[in-house]
Amino acid sequence: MKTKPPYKHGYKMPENYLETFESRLQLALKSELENIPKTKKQTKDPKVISLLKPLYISIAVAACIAVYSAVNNTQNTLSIDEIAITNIEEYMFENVGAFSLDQITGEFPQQNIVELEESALYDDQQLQKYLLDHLNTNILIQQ
Amino acid sequence: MLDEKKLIHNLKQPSTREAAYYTLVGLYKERLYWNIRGIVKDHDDTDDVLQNTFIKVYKNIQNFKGESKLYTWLYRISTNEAINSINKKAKRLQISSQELQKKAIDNLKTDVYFQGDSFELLLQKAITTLPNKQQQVFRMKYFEKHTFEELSEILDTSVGGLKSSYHIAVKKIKQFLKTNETFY
Repeated sequence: MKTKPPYKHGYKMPENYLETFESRLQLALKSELENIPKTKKQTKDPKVISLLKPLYISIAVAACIAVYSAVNNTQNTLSIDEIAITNIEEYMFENVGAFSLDQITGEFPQQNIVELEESALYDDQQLQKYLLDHLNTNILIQQ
Repeated sequence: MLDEKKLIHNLKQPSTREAAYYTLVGLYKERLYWNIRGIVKDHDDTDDVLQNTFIKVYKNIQNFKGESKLYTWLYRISTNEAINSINKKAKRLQISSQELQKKAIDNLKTDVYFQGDSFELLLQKAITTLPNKQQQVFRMKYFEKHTFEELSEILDTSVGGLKSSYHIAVKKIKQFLKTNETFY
């Protein structure tokens, strides 16, 4: 590589500029290199105390309390399946006046009501016996 | 002249780095000075950019892989530093880099470090009217007498592309000089 410019463009270099360049560069380089470690020391990562940590702990505690109370509430609630049938029957007999027919039938499924009606029908023999026992012949003659 | 491979080797060794570094500075400082001066125009700015260039070289010599020639690498660093310097200055003054270059040319009239005649001043003015890449190609070819092959390596552009850029640049400059010939 050629070290001297082979052209003339009108620009002029100050006298002794190149002769003194190395000494100025040496100072600039020294200053630059000394600044690097200082900058690194100054920019050492500070200890960061997270403001979110206490918040997370509070949320976790609140969540635990909420879950615990929800479980307890569920345990205190009585389920209809857990009450003995005899107890229900007893309650119904004692408070029969408190329920209307519609309320009672409304609690039964349609299928159960149909089965109940079918089982409640009198058969022919029972019906004939009932009529003979209670037949009022006078009424029939008059008609 | 010191073998380039040996110089690079010495630059990478802690024990020989200092001496090799100042050998490198001595070898290339003048050439890089003129490259930077052609871009930034002002001597003081050139001095700052040249120092920054060599500081950058010192800091990054370990990253130099030797895939290109050493002077190609140095040229790239100095050119980038010079362009960055113009852009920063333009930003600081809140003007475009093109406007800053025009201003720098105007300042040459009173610059004690410019001894060119009216033609040379007009030529510098004509160069600033070109796009950055064409300016660079023209300066390096016309003033510094680089071959297109050298330019191709430095600017990472094909020889064909560079020839085309140079041809267009010369045409524009001729046109500019023709239009403004009454001024010199």
